[in-house]
Amino acid sequence: MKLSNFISNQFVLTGASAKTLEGGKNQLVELFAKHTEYNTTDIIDAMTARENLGSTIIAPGIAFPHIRESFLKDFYVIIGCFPEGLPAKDHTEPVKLVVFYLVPEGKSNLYLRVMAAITRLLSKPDGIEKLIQQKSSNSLIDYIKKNDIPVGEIVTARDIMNTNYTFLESKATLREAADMFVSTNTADICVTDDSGNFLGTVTTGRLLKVGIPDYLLMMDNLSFLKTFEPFQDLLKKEQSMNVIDILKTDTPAFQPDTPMIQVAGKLVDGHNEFGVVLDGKKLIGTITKLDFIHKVVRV
Amino acid sequence: MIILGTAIFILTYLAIAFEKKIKVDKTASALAGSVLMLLTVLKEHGQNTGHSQFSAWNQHADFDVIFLLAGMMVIVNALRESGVFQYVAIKCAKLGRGRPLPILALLLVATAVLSAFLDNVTTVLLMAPVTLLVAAELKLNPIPFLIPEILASNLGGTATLIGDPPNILVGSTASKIFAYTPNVNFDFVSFMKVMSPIVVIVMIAFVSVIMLVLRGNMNVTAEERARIMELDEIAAISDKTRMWVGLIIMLITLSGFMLHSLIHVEPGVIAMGGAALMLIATRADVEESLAKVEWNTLFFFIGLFVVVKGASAIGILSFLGSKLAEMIGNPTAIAYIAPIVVLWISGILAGLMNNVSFTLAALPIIESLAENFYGLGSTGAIPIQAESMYWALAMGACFGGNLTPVGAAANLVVINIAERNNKEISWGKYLKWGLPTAFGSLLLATGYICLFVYFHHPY
Repeated sequence: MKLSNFISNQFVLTGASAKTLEGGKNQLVELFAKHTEYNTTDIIDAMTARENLGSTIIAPGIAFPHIRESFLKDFYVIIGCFPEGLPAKDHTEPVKLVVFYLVPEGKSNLYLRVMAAITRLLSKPDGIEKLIQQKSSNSLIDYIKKNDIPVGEIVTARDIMNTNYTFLESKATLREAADMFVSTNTADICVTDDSGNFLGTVTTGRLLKVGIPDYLLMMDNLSFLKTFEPFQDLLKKEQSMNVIDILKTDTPAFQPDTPMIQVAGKLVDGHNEFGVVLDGKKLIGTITKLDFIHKVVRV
Repeated sequence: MIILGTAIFILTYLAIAFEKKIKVDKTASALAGSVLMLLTVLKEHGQNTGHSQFSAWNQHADFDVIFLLAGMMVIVNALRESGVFQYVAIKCAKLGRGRPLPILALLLVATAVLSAFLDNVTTVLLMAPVTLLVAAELKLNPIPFLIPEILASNLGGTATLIGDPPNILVGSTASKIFAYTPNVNFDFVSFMKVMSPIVVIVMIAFVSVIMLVLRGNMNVTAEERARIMELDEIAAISDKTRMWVGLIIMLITLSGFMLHSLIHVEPGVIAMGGAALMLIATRADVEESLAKVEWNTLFFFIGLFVVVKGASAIGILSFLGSKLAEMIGNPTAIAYIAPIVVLWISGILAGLMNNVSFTLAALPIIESLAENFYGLGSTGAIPIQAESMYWALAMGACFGGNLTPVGAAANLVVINIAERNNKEISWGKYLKWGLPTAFGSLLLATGYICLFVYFHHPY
């Protein structure tokens, strides 16, 4: 299956403009409603409800709003190109490309596969710019056809991974790790060597463990202990110890084409919150359980 | 076949002794040795004639011992979750009013008493973390606390049938050997009667010497003492109902042990009964409770039982027994010498090679020694005079476990805990404490054995 087969030229808006991102999205909804029997209000309500869960701006200048509703009878992709950009709240860079997915219940996998294909299209050299600059819906479809992006038969690790991950090199100190945990609000950080090869992960748990003596962790219950001040050791050692000293090396690792079910199985059964996607030994993405909730369960 | 069996036996024991060097867990070595014995020696000697290979395990392994160990593991783990043992350890620290030497003395006594009724590994796993905390709060080196605690655990475990694995092994085997010998018992009460007095004597001497050696070396400030008094031992008890239910069941189980020879129920059955009662009464998650059983230890025992049975079948252990008998000489002249020789050989070899492995191999040797010395009675029963050699074996193996870091399982467990907390206990450091304690206790046991022979089996 080709990506171009999932995009109809009647659902493509090129050279458009609006004052805000909301305005741009509404234009796409109206375009969709014009060519289908669906009610504009229903679509906007569903989209607003989804937006309330979190921003759908997936990268600077790109928004992937999406809804999953039982009233939808088919899967639709609507593309809107706004070369002048749409100012978006909390984002400095205006959004120039909006890809709106309307997903019926039970078609989450198809959505993921198509979204992954579009992401691959955009990741081509100048892919985003070329798409935005298309003058008509037909030329945009031609551009997609020319690039011949396949839509995979199954959802794989590549389709759900985050490529916008944080990482540290093995020589980084615990202090740098602690700073990164705070600034990124994540619990796992990947650690790589100088060539970008994955070595393991450093977790908040491992970092905090440096500050708690092992003998305390051996006790079943610490409620008898009120005055002990933990983390003194951590504060003393945070600049002398490196992340390699507390590396977790059993993080589940997947190849990009590992089927989603295998990734989910490993993360759920193995009680792991976090996995990495490797191309050979090179780190190319990360997957958390939350990604499944975001991208599959709550489209 | 004799050469093959001897080779399997020696190689298995060497693999167990050097498990760290060869990086093969001792349980894996014991199981491999047992399978080889079953496929070769034990098959050849018709030991399992009419039995399937599966029932051969049952035939050669002593499942009274296995179930006794497993049952006690379940009971103690269930009780542990209530926090009662942590309470005891913290209470000791507070009773010592934050002063290092009284705290150490109380911790040593508590460790010994707990070890008498729980297995030593569990005891030190419970005591060592609290000890490290106390030492950290007092800003003292924890090593002079931890090594004596190991030693106290092995000494305390000597006092009862269930306290230390060598005693369980001696008790189970000797009960069967002396089943037809009047006035000789190796039941729970007999162990208490014979072993407790010498353990009390050794413990008094041990704690006194430790106090003398360490006096003046442990100074702490009022603030540090106050930090110990801040510990809230009551809060350590996480589940009062479980604690009381657990303690009552523990008491019932111990009463069962005391009565087991009267009611003709094996200790293994009583322990498993206690375990079942504990699981039911505490509504425990059975899967979780059984997962905490030290299967590694149980399979080590099963494997080693079979290896030793194979070695016995080809006669190498009885051969060693008869050679030892020749060396010792005339039995009537050596009524005192035989148990003393057994005591010291056991003490030294158990300390060098691990007291469980040694005891299992030593039991057939002692049996052969007894037959050589005293022959079999008219009923085929082992004569009463041989009794002292079994007590000597139990004392030697348990006290000898203190000799080196590899002498007993508890030693390695504490050394490992210390290492994980950046405190190294090297062989040298350990031997400074272990050597005098082992030899001192064997010396006291020598006098005790002489008195035992004098009063029980005068010639």
